[in-house]
Parts: sequence; structure tokens; C-alpha cells
Amino acid sequence: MPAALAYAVTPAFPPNKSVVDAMESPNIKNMTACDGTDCSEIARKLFNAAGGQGKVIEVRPMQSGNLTLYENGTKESGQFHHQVYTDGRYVYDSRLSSSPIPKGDREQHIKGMNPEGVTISDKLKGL
Amino acid sequence: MSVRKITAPEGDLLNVLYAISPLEWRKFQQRYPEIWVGDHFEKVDRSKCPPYVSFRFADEHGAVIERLKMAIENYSGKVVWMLGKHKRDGLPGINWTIGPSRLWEVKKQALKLDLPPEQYIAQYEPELGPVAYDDLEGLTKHIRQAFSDV
Repeated sequence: MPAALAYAVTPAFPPNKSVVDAMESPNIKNMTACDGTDCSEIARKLFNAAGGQGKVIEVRPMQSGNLTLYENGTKESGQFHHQVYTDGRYVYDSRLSSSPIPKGDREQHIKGMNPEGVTISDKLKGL
Repeated sequence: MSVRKITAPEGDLLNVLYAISPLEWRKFQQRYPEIWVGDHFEKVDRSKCPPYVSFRFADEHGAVIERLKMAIENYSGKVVWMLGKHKRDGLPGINWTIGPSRLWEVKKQALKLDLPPEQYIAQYEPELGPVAYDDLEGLTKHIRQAFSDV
């Protein structure tokens, strides 16, 4: 499942073009590849690119430090949390996929990576 | 709640740092990461990409950072290590990275080739990675000892 991240975009509800453009910008691409940059910084940038519309959501594991992600093509275990920007329909997670992912598909993906359970919330603790 | 420790040897330094002061973010270069192949995960050998650990303390103390910096500078192993600073963009706090100094030294050359520094080193200085992974064990022991009173 993780490699096939070309999720279908619903034509009737296209992703936010400003955010898509931001994801393709050299700045966000550099942040995506940079190991010293964290997900919250990218999420905040994309939130700003959306003009403050939408929100940043956070995934947390049931046990602290036990979150597994799929980032930049590899499985990353041992994370405390993960933050991403969402416009409500799509999640824009540049380390998971260069394209927006329908929110439900992304939720299914993250739950599949963490079968012991996660919480997803817009009450951010990880800033 | 107990915090899950990192079991990969190249991530053990993060366990040491967490014991010094709790972390709220951590990341490390895996030597044998799992990648998705077809319909399953497979381990691959990324020894040519040099190791690093990145982290942010939940409550940072300047004295701890200074002591950590000194410990890294005083370590004499096979590789020169450094503590790199990344001030978060638009958010409070600092993300720190401990890695071979070459990761910072090659940044300009890597940028010209549109490569992250670790991939540049994997391609042009492939002998560094395996040596650094071995040396990281020594550095981890050294930092653990330097903070043995904490």
C-alpha cells in the first residue's frame, strides 16, 4: 500500500491549487528532504499557503514514541507525533506523497501503519 | 506513560539524549531502513548514507546544549562529529542534529547537484558511511559517560 501513493483526486472537489503549488516549490521540496526540518514546520508553511484556510492535524500513537510513518520512501518508526495540513478533503503530506491525498485514504494508510491504534486530532500538542 | 525506546543501534544516541532531558521530536538515519517493494516491506542496506540523529528537547536548557557540544567536540574517534542547529521556521524551538561534520561541509556541492548531503556523500564518499556507523557507537558511549551524573 505505501508505495502506491498515487491516490485518486476527486475531479468535482479539486485540491487547493495554492497549496499544491507550494508543495512543488523549491522551498517546500528542500524542507521535505531536510533531515533537520520537522513535519510541523512544513504543515505550518502549507497552512499559510492556503491563506489560513483549513487546519493542521496531528497523529499520535497509543504509546509515546511508537508512531510509525512512511516518509520519503522509507518506514520511520519511533516517532512521537506527526502533523500535516488538511483543507478538510485532502491531506497535504509532502513526505508521504508529492500529491494531495484524500483524507479518508490517508487515515486508512496511517492506521494500517499503526495497527495498535492512533489518535488524530486538531488539538496540537507537538508544537 | 513509558516512552518507546529506539532499538536500532544507530538510533541509540536518541535514547541517551532522552534520558538526559525528554525529547519532543526525534529522527535518525536508518542503516537498514524498510522500503515498500511491490506488496511488502523489504530491508535495504543504506550504509553509504552516513548516520545522523536529529532531535528537539521538550524543554531546552542552554547548559545541556553547551555540555553536549563540548562532549561532541572532545570525542576523538574515526570521524569528526558536530552538533548542527536548525532554528524552526515560523515555530518556536530549535532542532539539533548530530552527524559527521562532512554532512555540513558538502552542503554547497550537494545543492549544486540537487542532492541531500547524505546522498551526495553516499555517491561521492561512500567509504564514510560504514566508518561513521561504527564510530557512532563510540560517540554514543562517550556522550553517555559525559552525562553519567544526570
